[in-house]
Amino acid sequence: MKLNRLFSDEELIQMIRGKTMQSQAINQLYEQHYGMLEQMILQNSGSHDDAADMIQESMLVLVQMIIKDKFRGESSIKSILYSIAKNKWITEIRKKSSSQIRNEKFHTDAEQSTPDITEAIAKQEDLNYIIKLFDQLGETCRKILLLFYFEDYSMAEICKRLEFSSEQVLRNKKYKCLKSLNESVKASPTIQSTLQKILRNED
Amino acid sequence: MKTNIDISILEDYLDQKLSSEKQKEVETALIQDSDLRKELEILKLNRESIQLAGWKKLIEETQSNYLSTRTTQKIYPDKYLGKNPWYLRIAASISILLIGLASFLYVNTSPEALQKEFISYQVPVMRGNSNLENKMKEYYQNKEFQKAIQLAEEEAFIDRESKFILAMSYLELNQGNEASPILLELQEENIEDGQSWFQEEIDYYLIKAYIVQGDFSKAKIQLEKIKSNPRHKYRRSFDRWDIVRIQLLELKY
Repeated sequence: MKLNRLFSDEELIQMIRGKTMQSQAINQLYEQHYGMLEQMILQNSGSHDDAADMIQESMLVLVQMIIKDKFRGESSIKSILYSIAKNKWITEIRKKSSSQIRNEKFHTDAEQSTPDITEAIAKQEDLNYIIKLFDQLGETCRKILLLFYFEDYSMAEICKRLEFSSEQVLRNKKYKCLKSLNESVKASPTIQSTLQKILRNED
Repeated sequence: MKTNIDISILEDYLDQKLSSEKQKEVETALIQDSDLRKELEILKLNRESIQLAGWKKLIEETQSNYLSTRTTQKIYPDKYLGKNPWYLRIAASISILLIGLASFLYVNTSPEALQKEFISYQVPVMRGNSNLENKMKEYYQNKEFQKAIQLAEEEAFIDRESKFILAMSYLELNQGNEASPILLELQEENIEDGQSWFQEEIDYYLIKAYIVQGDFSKAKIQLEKIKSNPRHKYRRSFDRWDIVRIQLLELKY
């Protein structure tokens, strides 16, 4: 007996974009593609731990592409995940810069990634940096912001769940949390260059 | 920032919650004030990053669960199959098929083995429609099934989402006799309302409930119901051997 039925790529995209049954969607992505991605990294000088790290990050890039409408199912999820993981792994082994582990064909193939994938990976690196800053906020701040922005809870619901005395107190706290994150981001030189690029594109 | 426009106003601007007059005021300020534009971009990046942080957590949890389960499953194929030549594996498979298939199936088919093959229901991370549902989801996620059940029992009325989680909690505790009436009740409600809310999940978990309570003939009927519907989303979850195995259970017990 197979454990559950498989959702189609289109359904998985809808589940991620609409935040419905997202656990099942991610679970299926792992069941279907982890082995293939791991094999690719193991065959190209990586270890099981490298594969685990790369696959986790690749999943996040895929999710980000789906949310931002950069991937609408033009190709299969399998091929896009493969391209993301391959691209990320090549960047990683280049960082390690050991010529003895270089596989030239593997490198050449990677250059063929679509601009969308390259852009999504670069964007994710910036966002990852902000996520690190977010992780440095206090626990209450992180809870409030996650419940509000990720789980789409209303202020009234968060107020009840986190036992705030009033919605106004919660609003003030959320404002402070967000402001604190903004300040950390502003002070980060890494993000400054990204911001400059964004602002230049707008002008 | 030179203006009195703060993050709250910028948030409302992004969410288009401002009056048209205020919206225009912010737009004008954004054109004139580069610091404010920067502030807005940071806010956008932050909102995106917080969302992604939620996804990251979910992905980390899924990966951890996946790897721990996979490690256990890998022991068998690696040890016994992975190192043997392919023709030996085929020969071994044929031998097993010819000599011992029937007895193997008979001996190894048990309600417990079948139950284990059902995937546990995973509650969505999204919030529910009621406080009861949210609380029950929380207990369920934490595997505190008894608490979820107690909570539902204390309520005079429970909505269908909570009822479904209640049934799933009973199933996790192997109380199929408690789970099946609830699932059947939800099925009845669907028929009465002309809806198909979670009907495919109800069909799927009813099979498990019947197997748990030892009612294999009902489990077989339910399985045939799924198999006979080409559009049923759980149709491909079962194959012909599953029907044979349930028939074997009927013979054995």
